Amino acid sequence: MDIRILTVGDAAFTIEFPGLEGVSGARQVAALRSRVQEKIKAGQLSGIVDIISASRALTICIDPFVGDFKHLQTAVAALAKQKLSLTKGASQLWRLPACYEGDYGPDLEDVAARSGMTAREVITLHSDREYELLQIGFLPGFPFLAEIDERLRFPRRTSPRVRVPAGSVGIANAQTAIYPWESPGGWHLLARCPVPLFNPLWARPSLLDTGAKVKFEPVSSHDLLLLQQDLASGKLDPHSFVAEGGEG
Amino acid sequence: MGAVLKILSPGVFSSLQDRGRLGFGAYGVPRSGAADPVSLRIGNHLLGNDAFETAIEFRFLGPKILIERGSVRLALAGDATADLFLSENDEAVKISPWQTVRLDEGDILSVMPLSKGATGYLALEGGFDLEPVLGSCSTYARAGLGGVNGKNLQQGDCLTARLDHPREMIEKIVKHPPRFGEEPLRVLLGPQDDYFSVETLGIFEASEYQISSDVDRMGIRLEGTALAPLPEKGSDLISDGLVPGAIQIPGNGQPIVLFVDCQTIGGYPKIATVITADLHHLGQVTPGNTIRFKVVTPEEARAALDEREQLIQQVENSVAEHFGEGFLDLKALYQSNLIAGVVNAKNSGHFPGHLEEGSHETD
Repeated sequence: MDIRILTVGDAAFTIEFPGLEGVSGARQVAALRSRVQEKIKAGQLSGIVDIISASRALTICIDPFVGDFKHLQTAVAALAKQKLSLTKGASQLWRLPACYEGDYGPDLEDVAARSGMTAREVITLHSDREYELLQIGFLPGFPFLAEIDERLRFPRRTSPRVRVPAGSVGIANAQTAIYPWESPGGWHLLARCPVPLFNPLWARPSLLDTGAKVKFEPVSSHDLLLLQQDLASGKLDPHSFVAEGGEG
Repeated sequence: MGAVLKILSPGVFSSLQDRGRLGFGAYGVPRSGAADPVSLRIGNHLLGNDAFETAIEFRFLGPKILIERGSVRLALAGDATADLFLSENDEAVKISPWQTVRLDEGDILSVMPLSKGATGYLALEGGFDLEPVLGSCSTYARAGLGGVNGKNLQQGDCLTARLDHPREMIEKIVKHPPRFGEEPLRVLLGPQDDYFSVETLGIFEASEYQISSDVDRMGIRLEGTALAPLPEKGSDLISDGLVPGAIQIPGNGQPIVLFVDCQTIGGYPKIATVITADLHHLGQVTPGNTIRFKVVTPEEARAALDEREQLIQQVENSVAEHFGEGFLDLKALYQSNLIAGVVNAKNSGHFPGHLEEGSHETD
């Protein structure tokens, strides 16, 4: 596998797969991350304090007092060059409810107008697909999902919103995502998802992991409120929205 | 039950910080942690705490704190003074930067604005009684992690100490505090130095950058000579991992030094990355000042780390007993024999008990 090794200061380096993009890159990165984690568990790589996955790059953060930079770089690069067994992204499918109605999808009409379709058609195009999770970032648990229908692809809003409500489902360029937290944001907001995506008390704090597949299931605003209540009261477990492949 | 500290006024962006939250980068969790880990360590050292014990971090202006129950000892780490208002006689005592101070029930400590730098700490002897979240007590307010209910300190917050009263000892002070911001920040080129021409890299290293007013724990925006990427490369790349200290160059060419709360991935080219040994300086940069960068080799970065540890060691070695203004310097009196014959210096019973105990403390 063709790789590039990038220096990120004296306490991190990035392994990039320059020839890959989108889903194939993310799968390669996920496979490398698993291999590195196995090696750490086996006690064969010491001094790694964090691993960051991006869609075609894995960043290894080290404690410079513990880990030998050059040694770790050589060892991880060697792993990256090997043929890695790619995890099957299809093993986990999440069906996440999304309400496209009214204020829950403030940019729906605008996206419809720009793409020359009706709002109904935009909803169908957005909710018909299974997306694959390429990377988590920007905010804890924020999933970058690919790829959306070509007719829905627009750059981010020129003036980002100061306040995007938690649970907002947005699109930008070829991707769609869910804001796990209220934050500023520039994506076009189509819907609201009631399912919390991040909880530090869960064994894996992010509900979704790279490679997971996500499909949005349109629900009414009435059902959205019911779901929100049941999720808040604990009657409904966020992990129950996985449709195939069991809990991650 | 531990002592209780009540926040009467939080100061500016005050939060609880420790070493930071490592190991969850793959889920988009920022590292967080002390903006100036060196000051945090020295504050904790003054108290005999673990080096990265959680402390109150404040930016520019410190908090005002009431001891609601019990007694505590705090260390003020940073170039700020404080006023201690004693409950028993309404007396105000001036607290120096880089000293420890004991507070009893009803006492109030009011920290003044930092005279230099941007970040200070109030460390607590024995530490705060907090539940770590994802391995850290550091506050990351955007996702409600750590701190008090996941938020920066608010007026009325109550923090519980692990101890109900501190040890008996003489207060301490750092005689030679750390110095900040006098040298250029050392960087290693990369990860995307190949996005820039040799000339642009030269400009980056030769230029003086003004620190804008946009300075926080997420990043430090600089103003100066714009750095344009090579036309064939552009300013957008497929996102890759970010670390505090990475210097990203967005479309307008004005560098942003990413900092402790920065997001984990991003899509702007990063021309260079501040070395670990100099990261703590980023916690002290203030708007209006200038900084420069100096490119070093990995070997120099490694040597700088050892040098930094030696400097911290020197600062810690300069810790001395502190009797404070208006207090009689008993130890000095002993040493100059002024009171020899008046009391038996070996018999601590005749003098405040803390004197003897304190004088055996070594640092």
